[in-house]
Order: sequence, then C-alpha cells, then structure tokens
Amino acid sequence: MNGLSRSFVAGVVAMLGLLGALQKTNASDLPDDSYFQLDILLETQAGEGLRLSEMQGGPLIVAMFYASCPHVCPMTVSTIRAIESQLPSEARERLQVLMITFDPERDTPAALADLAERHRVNNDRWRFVRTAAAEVRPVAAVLGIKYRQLPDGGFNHSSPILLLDGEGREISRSEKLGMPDPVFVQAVATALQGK
Amino acid sequence: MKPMHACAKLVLAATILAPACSLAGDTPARIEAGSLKSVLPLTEDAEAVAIGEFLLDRRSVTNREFLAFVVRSPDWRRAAALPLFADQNYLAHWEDALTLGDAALPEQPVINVSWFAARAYCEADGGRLPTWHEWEYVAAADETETDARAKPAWRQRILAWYSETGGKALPEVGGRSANAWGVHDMHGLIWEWVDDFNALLVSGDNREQGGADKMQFCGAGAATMEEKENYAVLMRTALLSSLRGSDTTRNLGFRCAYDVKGEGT
Repeated sequence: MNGLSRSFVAGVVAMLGLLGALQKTNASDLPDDSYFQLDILLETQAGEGLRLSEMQGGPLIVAMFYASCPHVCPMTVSTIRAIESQLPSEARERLQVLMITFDPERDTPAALADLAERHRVNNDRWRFVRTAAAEVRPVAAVLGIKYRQLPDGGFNHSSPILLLDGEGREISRSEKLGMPDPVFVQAVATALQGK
Repeated sequence: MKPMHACAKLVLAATILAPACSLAGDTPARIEAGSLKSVLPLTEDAEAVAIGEFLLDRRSVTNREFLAFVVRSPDWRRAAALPLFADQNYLAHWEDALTLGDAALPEQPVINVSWFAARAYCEADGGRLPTWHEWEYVAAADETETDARAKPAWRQRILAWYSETGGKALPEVGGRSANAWGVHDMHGLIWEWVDDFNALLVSGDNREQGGADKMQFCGAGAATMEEKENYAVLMRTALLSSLRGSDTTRNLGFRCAYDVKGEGT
C-alpha cells in the first residue's frame, strides 16, 4: 500500500485508542444483523476519525462513491439530495448521510472536503469518509456493493443507495439514480417519523 | 511472506526428517509473475492482466485446518459467528462447533464457509484470499502447461465435472495430480472464494433470488463475453458474483495466497 494510508490509519488508531474506552460497548449492543457490526474506522472530510458504530441513532443513508468519478457518483449525490428535498425540512434535519469512498488513497480529507463544498451539502449531516484501503472490500461486501478498480485508477461499481435504521439494519435500498425512487423516499420519511 | 509453516520449519531445521511431513503439500506453491488474458478483462480493450509473483496454497483448506482455526478463534465458531458475516448454514456439515463428526472428514476441503470467514482464516495465517485474476491464472494450467486453456481437453474436463450430479461425498484434497504450478484441485473438487468476488460484474445483480446454492447464472451474462470457449471458467465468475460475503454453500471453500516478501503492496 502506501505511506498515506498507513499514516492515516496510525493517526486514527491513536486517536481512537482514547475514544475506545467511551465507545467500547457500542458494537456489542447492536443487533447481530446490524451493518455497524463491521466496526471499522472512518475518516471524515473534516479529518476526524469515527467508528462506523458511532453512526447509531440514524436513520442513515449510505452510498459508496469516489471523488474523481465523472458521471455516476455525482449523480448519486444529487439523487440523495433530491430525496432529501422531498422531505419536510424538520425531518430532513434529522437525516444523516454517509458517503464512503472506493478510493481512500486519493480521497484524502481535503479531497472529500472539496467534494462536499462542490455539492454544497450540509457538513453537519453529510459525511464523506474514507476507510483504510484494506477495509473497502469488506464494507462493500456488507453493503452488497460490487466494484473493481480499473487500470486508469477509476472504478466500475454498482450504485445502490441504502437506508439504515438507527441500529444499522437495512430498511430499504434503491438502485435508481436521477429521479428519486418514490418507494425509497417513503421509507426514509417513515423512518424519520419513527424517530 | 507467510510465517513459515511449522512443518516447513522442522524440515529446514533437520532436512533428514522430511519424510515426517509432506513438504510438497504444506508449503505454498510459488507462482511466477506473468500476464493473463482473462475471461474478465479490466477494460474492453485491455489485452492482458499483469500478475505479480505470489504464493498459493497447493490444496484447498481442509476441515481439519479450519477446525484448528476456530479452536484458536472463538468468534468464528459456528454459533458465535455473526449472521452479518456468516449465514445460518455456516459449517452446517460439522457435528458441532468444535467437532467435525461423520459428515466432515478431516482431509475433505472445508465448505459452508463465508467470504468473511475465509478471509479471517487467511489473515490469521499471514495470507489473504487470492484475487480472481490470480485464481484464474493458476487455474489455466493443466499438468504440463501453465496455460492450457486452448486445449479442448482442459475445457472438457471442467465441463465434465460441472455436469457430475451432486450428492456424492466430496473427495479429499490433493487427490488429483498437481498442475504445472504444483497446485491441486483448482477444478474438479469445489468452488473457491476469491478476495474480489464482489468485483465480478458479469451476471445481473440478482442477489434477491433464491438461495446461493442455486446457481444464478443467466444466458444474458454469458452472451456478453467474447470468448465462448471460456464458458467453463465464466461459470465460476457467475456463481461468485451472485453471492454476498456472508453466503455459504455446500460446494464453496477456499485456499489462501501470500504476498512474496518485499512486494510493496
């Protein structure tokens, strides 16, 4: 791999060593089928480390992307924004969005922050994150997302948008990009009502 | 490089003891770097995929070996493994969490293992799962040539295996002669996980249908492939790409690969 990922991991691991005592109970209290059981470290566009299990409380929209992606990934972001726009604003404020990159090597916090800026998302609710390089495939496996890296550094990938409940269980999934899938929007609205 | 196998250590320490261990079977095979014209090229115009040197287990991981792993790793015992990482049939053919029983002979390949479990096993052994291209590269060999795919007999043998009816007891690992790399049973015994099983985009995204035991292969997927002669190998990619990481099936096991010391990745 590369020095970049290693130093990232080392830094995050050091920090989470401190947080670990506080967060320790989280994963074990989760349901067995919670995606948060894959309790990996994430690094956000703000350069902050957090564990996947810290996304508890949701509901949470999750998708995967990479910043240099020319077509599909911007569409994923805009589709999620379109889904949000169909929610009452007070419900929308309680929705969390987690965008996980396929490309942790190039998608540094700075690159992720640029992307967040470009898409004008709410940085309090939207997290663009990378994992350690070795964790990308397990994350994709848990989320049921397929991808492979191409010789030019790009990725082929499937592009589902997932809705997880506050405990990390999948409630709904949409493969539809562009116009939001009404069934999915309804699932998001219902999940937010239940909060 | 892989932490040296206990058996290999013993052999190196006192080579005269070699007969006490089956050295040939226990040290991974060294696979030379090369290039592969894959059934799954990375791009439409890609001529070949470069394969770096690596080591590969000569045989599929056995029930005996996997039992030793779960003894050391309580999280991966049958009742303890989380459903997110291993479905309800995980190691279902074993008598209980720490007993193989009559339906799981020690030297049969372990089956009913999920991708997450296979990955954990290899990592605990200082290795990893092979990539699809690495697997395909080694599986292209017959007994005499490292790339025998142009031979009708190579293809015919694989297809004949596919057409065997199920229900027979699995043979033990290593029962067939080794291929040109010194690796056994790439075909003819079980199907095997690869690390990037969820990179294989050949078949439709039909995870929702049926159980994983039912091969979810559709003709449309095959028709997009240029080399129809590769059908035999494409069947593998179709199966693997239809699975989730927690799935287990009665004919799917694995073997581990290892980076060669000094390789940067």
